[in-house]
Amino acid sequence: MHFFCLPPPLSFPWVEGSSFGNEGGSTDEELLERALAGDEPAFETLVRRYHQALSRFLRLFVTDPLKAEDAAQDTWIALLGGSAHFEGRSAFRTWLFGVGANRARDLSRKEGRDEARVREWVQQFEEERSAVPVSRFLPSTHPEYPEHWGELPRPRAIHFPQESPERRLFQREAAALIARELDRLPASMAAVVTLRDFAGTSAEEAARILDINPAHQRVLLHRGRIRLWQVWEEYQAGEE
Amino acid sequence: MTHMAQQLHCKQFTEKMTDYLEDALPPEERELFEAHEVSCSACQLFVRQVRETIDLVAAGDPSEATVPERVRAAFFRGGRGPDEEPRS
Repeated sequence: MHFFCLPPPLSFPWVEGSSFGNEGGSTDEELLERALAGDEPAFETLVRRYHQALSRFLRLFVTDPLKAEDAAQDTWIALLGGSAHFEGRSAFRTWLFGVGANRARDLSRKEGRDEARVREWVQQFEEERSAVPVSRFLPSTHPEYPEHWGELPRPRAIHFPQESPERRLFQREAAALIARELDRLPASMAAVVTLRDFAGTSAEEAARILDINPAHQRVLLHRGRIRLWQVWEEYQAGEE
Repeated sequence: MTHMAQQLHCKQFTEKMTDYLEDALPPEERELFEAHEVSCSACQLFVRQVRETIDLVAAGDPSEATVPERVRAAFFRGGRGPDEEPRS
């Protein structure tokens, strides 16, 4: 124990058991089954859930945002038409982002660009691993507490009761904020965080889809998460 | 690395967090990581907030909600894109 220790861990009940990723009460796979059987509201829910994120993700592979949007739309159309068939070997959203990436890559190749854009952003990778600003820690020369937190993580400012409208609103606003920030991350970090934490792909699948090695994947994931954590930390502490 | 006096400081802990969550730390570093987490409430809070961040990314933007017209039209055509032949 050191002198920075806080009281017993704070609880964040609004995260546990939340409906994240499952709004509307149906899983993606249930919605897909209904959609392919002709249920329009089910299809609409599914598209609304993932289309924007998919379209943004595909901008990594093609420079023109309109082409990325086309590739995203083509992915849905291929799904409907049966030329891309979901067999349930992975989660639906993992499959969706993988198929979308393949389509965008094909488009990129047709343009004679190969995968230059992806390679370009992979080269942005640097070796520096400390994603939390160094200024948050005491110096390594500190006589008693070298490299301990100097500026502690800030706790939540307000706790809303379970199931309260205020809590739901807070959840929605926080999710929207983080989605906006995700869009502002450097492309390489955004890609990895989108695949891993939004689309739920495994580390191996993400590295394969992006054609990067596992160590790059982990560093980009770490940096991206920490950048988003900084935004969340400020927001939940009531500093935004 | 396995000497008793060896311990992680908070900065190192934050640097290793994703590797820990990814199960990419060697056993001895994993032990050091877990020992630090047990003893440091500030780092416990840090881990909790990063996990919340991950949950928020998974939630996506609830306000993003449009179905492109071309996709909607394809749904009503039974999935055929405008350039595709009707299915037999």
